[in-house]
Amino acid sequence: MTFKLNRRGFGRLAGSTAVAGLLAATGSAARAAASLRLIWWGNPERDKRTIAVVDLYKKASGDEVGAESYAWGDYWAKLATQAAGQNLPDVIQMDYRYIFEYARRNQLAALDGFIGKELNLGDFDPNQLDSGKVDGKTYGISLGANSMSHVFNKTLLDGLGVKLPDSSKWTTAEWVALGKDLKGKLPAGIFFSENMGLLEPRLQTWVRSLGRDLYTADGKIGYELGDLVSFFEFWKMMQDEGLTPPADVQAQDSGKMEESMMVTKRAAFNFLHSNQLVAMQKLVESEVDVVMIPGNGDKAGQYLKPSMFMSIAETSADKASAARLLNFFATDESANDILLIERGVTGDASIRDRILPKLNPTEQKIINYLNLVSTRVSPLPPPPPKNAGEIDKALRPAWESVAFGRAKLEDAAKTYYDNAVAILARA
Amino acid sequence: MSSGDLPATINSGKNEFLRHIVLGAAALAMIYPLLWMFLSSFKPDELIFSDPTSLPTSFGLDNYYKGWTALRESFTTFYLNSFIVSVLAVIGNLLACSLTAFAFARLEFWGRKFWFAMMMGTLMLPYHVTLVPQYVLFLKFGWVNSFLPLIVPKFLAVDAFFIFLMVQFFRGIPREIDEAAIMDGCGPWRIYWKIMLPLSTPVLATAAIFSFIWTYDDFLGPLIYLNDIKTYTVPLALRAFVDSSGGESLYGALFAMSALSLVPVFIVFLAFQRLIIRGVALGALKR
Amino acid sequence: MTDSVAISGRQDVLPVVSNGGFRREIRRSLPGYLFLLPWLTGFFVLTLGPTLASLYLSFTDYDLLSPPRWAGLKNFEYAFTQDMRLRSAVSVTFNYVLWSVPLKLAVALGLAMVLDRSVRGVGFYRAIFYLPSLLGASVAISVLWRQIFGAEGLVNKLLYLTTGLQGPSWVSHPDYALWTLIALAVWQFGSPMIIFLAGLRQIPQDLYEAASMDGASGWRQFWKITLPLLAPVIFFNLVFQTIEAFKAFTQAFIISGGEGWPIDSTLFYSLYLYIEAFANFRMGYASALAWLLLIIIAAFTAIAFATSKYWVYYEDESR
Repeated sequence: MTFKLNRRGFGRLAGSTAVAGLLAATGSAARAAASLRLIWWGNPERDKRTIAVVDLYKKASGDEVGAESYAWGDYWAKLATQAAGQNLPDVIQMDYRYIFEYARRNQLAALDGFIGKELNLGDFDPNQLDSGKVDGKTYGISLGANSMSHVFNKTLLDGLGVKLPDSSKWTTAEWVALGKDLKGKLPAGIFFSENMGLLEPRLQTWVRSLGRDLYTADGKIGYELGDLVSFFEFWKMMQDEGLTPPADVQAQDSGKMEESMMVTKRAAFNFLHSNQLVAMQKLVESEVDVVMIPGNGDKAGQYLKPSMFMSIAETSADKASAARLLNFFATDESANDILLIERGVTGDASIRDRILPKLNPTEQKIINYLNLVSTRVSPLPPPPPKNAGEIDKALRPAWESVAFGRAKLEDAAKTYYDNAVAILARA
Repeated sequence: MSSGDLPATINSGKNEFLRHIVLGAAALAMIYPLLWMFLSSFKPDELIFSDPTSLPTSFGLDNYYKGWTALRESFTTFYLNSFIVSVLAVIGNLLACSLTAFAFARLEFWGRKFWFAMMMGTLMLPYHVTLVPQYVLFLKFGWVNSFLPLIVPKFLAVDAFFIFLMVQFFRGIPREIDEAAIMDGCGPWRIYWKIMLPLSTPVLATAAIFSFIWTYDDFLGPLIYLNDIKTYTVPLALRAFVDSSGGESLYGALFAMSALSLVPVFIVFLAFQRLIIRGVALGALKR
Repeated sequence: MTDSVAISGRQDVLPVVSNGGFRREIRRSLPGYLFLLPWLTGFFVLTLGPTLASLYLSFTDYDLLSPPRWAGLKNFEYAFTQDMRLRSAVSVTFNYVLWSVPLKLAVALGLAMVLDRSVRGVGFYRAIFYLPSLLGASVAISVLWRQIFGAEGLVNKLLYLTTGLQGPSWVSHPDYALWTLIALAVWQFGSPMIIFLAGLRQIPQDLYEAASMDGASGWRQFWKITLPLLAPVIFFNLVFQTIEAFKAFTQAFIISGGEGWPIDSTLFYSLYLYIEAFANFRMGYASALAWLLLIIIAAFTAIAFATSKYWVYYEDESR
């Protein structure tokens, strides 16, 4: 899979997408105005950009578009309730995990019939398109790619004269050595890194680096108990060595960026999804930079993943109009001038080229980072099975029982592993 | 607040002083967190978390301006929505609950004890039980994305707490009054409307205030039933401020709007608090 | 005309013209049912209907996205025999109820008693004490609480100043996290305080005066006068606060990351129910959990009412 930000056919396509986009948006002149609903999760910044695009679309198409926006924590309860009532909005922002749940339960419309017509995806990276496929059919269009990463406090490390090696090749051993070297030098209260033993994505890079994955293609657990034990052992070692904060301090991070060890000035390294770098930089006074995750095995642990999708509800009364709205978000130039890379880096090559000069230095870092990642990635993992979300959330308490010394490490790992198998077996 | 309604107490100066010490300390502990929120609302975002105990350097209203318009609709809309829903909920609760309570407290009818037990039973229902079936129901009525699911139930007296409160209060009103009215040929409706309600201002005020506050604070109902941001109530809008999945967070503005959102309920409480105490009084003690 | 309504009296003082049991019964009951009409409508349509629907769902597999499928007793079987997380949830909830309710009531009663006697500035204090209860559940509260009980929070700063000890991060430590939620519940003691205040106002002042003349200490007056006379109010508060505590949801939802962290130490029953229903798409199982909770609450309430006759005395025993 490649993610080359070349200037492929920029001149040829520069004008044509805009025209095609607008044509797709307006459709035939005789078409009656549709009334659509759009739903997404986000934050005030995303809301502003999204609604500006919606307004643009309303003017261009004459359609009425109702906008519904929720915080991530409330979004899925809201969506599930609407689904239970057969009342889903026409266009839905979807997450990589949930798209399978919703598609396999016939809540989402297959988009293949619209591609090439309402959906003008000629310039779209085929790999990103594939990421929205469930059982061979397209159920969502990726709004952007991102990848996992380590971010670090550049100002702090520069001040200590530390220069990081090429992160696409570095190993956990090198990373730990760096940590031990820095231990005495970092200011009091600042640890080398946050503890990532509770993060499923970090576990995923760990097992992928060993040539396995969280799940197999047929929906079984894809790694071995020993892998999990070694993962827990590694992070327990980090905690015991004082390279990561004590368990109760680490546990103050409930997943909100504002509570992360980086933002609360407790760690020099932090885990992050690359599209969140802009947000994190806003919360940290020092300069933050992004590097790849050190490998514990000889395989590439990381992959480029879709940060989010847009899908269409199966119950939508006017799927063609919904597809036109979706297309506007995915491929329209004026829309993407507003959206930029807030949702991730778009898979549309010409759009990417167009918005590149408009990005600020932090956003440029993301682009450069994804370029670096694309030199050493492995393919997108198989889709997570049903109930994968539950297994993801169970990792944190399992790790915490190790971190707080509530359970023996091997026991905690085994309990979690067996529990994961049981959850998969349970409907 | 005047102290005119207080019973005369034998108070030595020393005791009085001690009480103020205790009360003052308790009051400080009570409002410190709120004070922190209020002070934080004047600070720039970076300082709220990195230096949480510092005092704001200035009392500029930046966060308030920013917060008021941070979302797509301004808070003018959200406050308006909240008031419409809360005020209608108050009216609904007062009418429906007092009718029901009057029947339970004063009228004889077949199955009274049974229905009363049923009514008390609804108090115990965890609300997540009925969430999805109710949603489907309101959807069939075509009420989703309107205020109706938040208001109509109040006109159907679903808040058993208020019924119970009123039953207790009505029972405390001397029976001789309505017996005399019956002798004069009054029917139950006139007794309810002309005698009971006017005598029950305290409990009605209590129910009004609590239902205003609870409806105003309610979050789950609006979350489930309102779709369009134009229809959001204040708590729903406050939730939209911060999101953990990334993006800019506006904590200063969040605190500013949270502090502001307290103002209406606090005013309502201040204005009517004396009535609340009398409203609860007669009922619960049954004298 | 005089018999058109029978007002319930202590004795049937009103003349009732009798002509046939059934018709008389209808005439007697009609006004009551007319008054009950709004409530009955709401009860059947909005409460009973959905509740029965959820009873049905508790015997099904229902993932919200596809239609429910009959599953017999499977959900209940799973809850009783296999669900380890449910056991955590039950124990967390019982702990929460057993600690938060008495503490909250004690604080509410204590301050209400001080407030009842104090002459100057009562309204001011009352308002201040009630203020936290107005706040409801919001994002701001969650941020606030994590600040106060965090590693460098206010509590630890005070602890360090007074004892020189360095406290843990209370809000994120499995041993203490539940206590921060109990503290939150106690902090919002406004409603029971108001009800206690109201009750205290009803106690005749001359009882205290007479007791003082007899040389009874304040402590003795509290045990012999205040508590017994306040028993009905205490009972009222106890029952309502217990029911509310069993149903507690938002506190844990907003403060503990919505997942009962750390290590399920704040996994309230309602929170677990919510997670199963909306995060794990098991509405059928969640409905079964809801019915089990209903039974637990009903049992507790029944115990409270059954024992009340031993310690709650009403002056007017008519019911």
